[in-house]
Amino acid sequence: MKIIVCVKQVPDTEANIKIGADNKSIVEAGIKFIINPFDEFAIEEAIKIKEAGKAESVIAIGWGPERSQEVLRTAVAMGVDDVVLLKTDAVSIDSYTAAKILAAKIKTMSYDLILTGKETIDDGNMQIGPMLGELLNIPCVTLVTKLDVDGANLSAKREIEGGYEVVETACPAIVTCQKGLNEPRYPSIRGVMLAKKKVVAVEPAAAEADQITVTTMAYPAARSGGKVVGQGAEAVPALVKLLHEEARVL
Amino acid sequence: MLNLVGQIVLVLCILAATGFFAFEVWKRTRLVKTGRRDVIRTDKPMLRLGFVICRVISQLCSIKDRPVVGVMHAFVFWGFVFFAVATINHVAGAFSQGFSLWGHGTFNDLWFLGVDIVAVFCIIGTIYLAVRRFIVKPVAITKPMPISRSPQSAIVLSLIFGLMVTYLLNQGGEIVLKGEAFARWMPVSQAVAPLLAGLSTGALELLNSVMWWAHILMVLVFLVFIPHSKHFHLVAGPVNMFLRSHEPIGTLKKIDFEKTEEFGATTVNQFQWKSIMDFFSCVDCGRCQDVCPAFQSDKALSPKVIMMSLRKHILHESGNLLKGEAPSEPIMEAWIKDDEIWACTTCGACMEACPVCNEHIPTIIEMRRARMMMENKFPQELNPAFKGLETNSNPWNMGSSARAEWAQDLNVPRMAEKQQAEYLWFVGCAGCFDDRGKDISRAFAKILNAAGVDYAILGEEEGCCGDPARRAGNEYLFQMNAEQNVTTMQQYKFKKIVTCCPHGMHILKNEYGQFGGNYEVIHHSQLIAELISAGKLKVESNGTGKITYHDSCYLGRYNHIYNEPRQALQATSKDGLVEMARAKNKSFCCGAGGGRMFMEETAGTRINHIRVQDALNTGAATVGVACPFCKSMFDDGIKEKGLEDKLKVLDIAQIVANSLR
Ligand code: SF4
Ligand code: SF4
Repeated sequence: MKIIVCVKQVPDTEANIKIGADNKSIVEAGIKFIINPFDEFAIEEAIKIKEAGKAESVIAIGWGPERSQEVLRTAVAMGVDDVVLLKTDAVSIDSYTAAKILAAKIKTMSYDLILTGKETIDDGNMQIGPMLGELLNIPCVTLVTKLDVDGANLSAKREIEGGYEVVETACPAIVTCQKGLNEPRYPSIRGVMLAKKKVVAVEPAAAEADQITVTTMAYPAARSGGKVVGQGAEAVPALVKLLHEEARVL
Repeated sequence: MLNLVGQIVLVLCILAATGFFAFEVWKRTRLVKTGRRDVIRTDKPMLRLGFVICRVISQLCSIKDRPVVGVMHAFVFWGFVFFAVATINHVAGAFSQGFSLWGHGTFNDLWFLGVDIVAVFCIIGTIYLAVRRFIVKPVAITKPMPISRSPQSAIVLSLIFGLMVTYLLNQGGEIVLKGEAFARWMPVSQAVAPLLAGLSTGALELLNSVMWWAHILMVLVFLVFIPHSKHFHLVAGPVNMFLRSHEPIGTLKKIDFEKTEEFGATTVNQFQWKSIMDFFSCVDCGRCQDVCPAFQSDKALSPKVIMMSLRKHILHESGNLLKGEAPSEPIMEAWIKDDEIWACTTCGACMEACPVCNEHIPTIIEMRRARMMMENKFPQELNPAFKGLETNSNPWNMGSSARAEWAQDLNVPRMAEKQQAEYLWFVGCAGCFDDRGKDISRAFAKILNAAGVDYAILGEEEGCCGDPARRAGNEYLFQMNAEQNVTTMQQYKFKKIVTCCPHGMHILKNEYGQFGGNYEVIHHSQLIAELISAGKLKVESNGTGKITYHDSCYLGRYNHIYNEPRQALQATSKDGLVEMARAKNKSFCCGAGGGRMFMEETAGTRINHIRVQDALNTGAATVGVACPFCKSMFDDGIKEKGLEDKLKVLDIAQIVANSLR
């Protein structure tokens, strides 16, 4: 079985995000970029399948600007066999455009399983997986927390509101990975050293114009300070009342 | 004097025994040489030699941590030295009647007096040590018992005992045969003589001859036996002391990633040669394990067992290694378990205690390095810490832009603004991100401002010093952190660096030099003590109860800073300072070092609970610490044991800041 993993480079979860002067993009200076955490689950799962002797190759495809090479190196360090970057001129493209450039590349490759994160933590659209399934005309199983593959078929446990379900489908298929699927490994230093020397294949992506454009970005409203309702047991009724009426969580 | 047949037999026996001994020594030397050769230990030869002579002759090596056992050991040691020389006389006597190395003057008489007296003390020593080992059985000897060499000790102690007895009986017999004049200076032999007085001349001659041969044969058996027993320390111990490290305890060597692709020790020949030397020098005495916080809290680790297992392992592989082939198995799993190497807090107590100057920490870290960097096998809890160090240069993975938030409402100058200052204050991750550490930073800022010190911090430009990564075997990540910091600090002018964290202090002072960063680094307790004594800091001693002080490993054993923290505390306390039973170089680790802060502690008892109990036993109301990690460990320990109303923990900076006038 051949596995393809789609990975994106995103700003670190702890990065202090500043909005640029144009009010539509973020300032990249001073930001640390990391591999999209959900894509990390996808890489780990692919490597695990390979280590279990069920896959012969794992190839990671990245998309985005030149700097995205870094996350592909991380993928190599973790253990994928080969990587390719679909280089875009724009720093950010919409999900459909991304799905199309990925599909165009994947169509030229042979594969049985595609793994990617359930979403990218920067834009958070959760669209690329399903769109890729559509463009490649293969089934897409989303939000997977457990995956079993046996060559021709796969069985996946996926999260649904208030519980989970187990689904089956035939390969080739695309699976989007959710937290809980596995514990991504820390890349071995030997792997990191090898990855440093790895020449990442960079292919210019023929990205069409975005269909969705960002017009404005803004910070969330500053959090207002907490409210002290009272102390001890007597405060409980007032607290319940507020939680119910004001916060509407009860 | 022997007849010709006797002389030939003797010569053959001596040749066989010394040949065998030489072969075994040669074999071990070759094995030592199979190790890596980056460590050089032949600088300052005179200093080294002087150290060995003083330490061995005085027997301080053995006495300093165990006075009674040490003195008994000294008796046996001195017996051994005298008898080694006496053996030369003994053998030469076989070829030339009445031979003596020093002729027959007064010195010779004195010499025999010495031998006589030493023999008695040596007998006392062997009996004491035998009773201790086989009847009293202290933990240091009996536990853990994977590869105890007590049977060997039985043989060796009997041999030494036998040497003394055969000597005294032989001399006693001579006295009866040759008369009193012969024995003017041999009070003990004289005392033995009457026991033999009833024997016929023939019987006496036979007895003498038997005792003579028994004595010399025992010496030769001993020679053959030494290399196979822990008594090889007679040979390797002094050599190992000569080769000891002149760097602070636990200082680690740099891996040159350009030059090697094998990191750490996966197989036993990948240790530094000095580590292998350590394995052969170990006496199995258990002094290291007696003071090891991991062993004392029932973890899988015993530094003694590490030494013993690796010695067994390398001897087991000697066939392959001496042929120039790779060992047949890796170290881990087969000889050492993961639970052992990851339990080490790198506290250095073992190294401080070891009579033959073994260096356990580098050995343990080499195994961690291989496990971490070559095989990717390490405690999973370290995963987020490593990721944090990589992306945000702190083990908690908090946004690096928040590094100086603790200083927001305080008047703390930045290097970026000042460009130069007398002191660069390297705050460190705990001081920047950990709530309990931030309290220390705030207190120290208050002190520096009150004393009008010219200082600045690096703010967001600062990164982790890299100590947790390096001690956890992730040398690659450590080097990233270190190189970044060296580059950052190059931009600014400063005279000294001051840190609140002993780990940062040690690594900046003693290990950044490997990356071109040579700094004068002091600990905040030193600066505080200096400011107080110079009158720049006015403190009031308040009566908040007695204080006890906990020596941090990296401040005390690593860098010998024992007095300044105490001076600072004394200046603030009316009720005075009380010492814990284990203090200064014998201090007991809080449990956080060696990256243990970021690993779980599930096996055995908790190290911090043991140390909190130490502090509680002093009756002090406050335990003063000098390290943010110690503070967290004490704080947790006090809470977990429900002792909040009896004991509280504060950093020296906090205590001093609270008593500023
Ligand atoms: S450094 Fe400390 S914890 Fe590690 S083996 Fe030595 S005594 Fe034990
Ligand atoms: S390493 Fe040193 S202290 Fe430990 S058992 Fe061996 S000789 Fe004794």
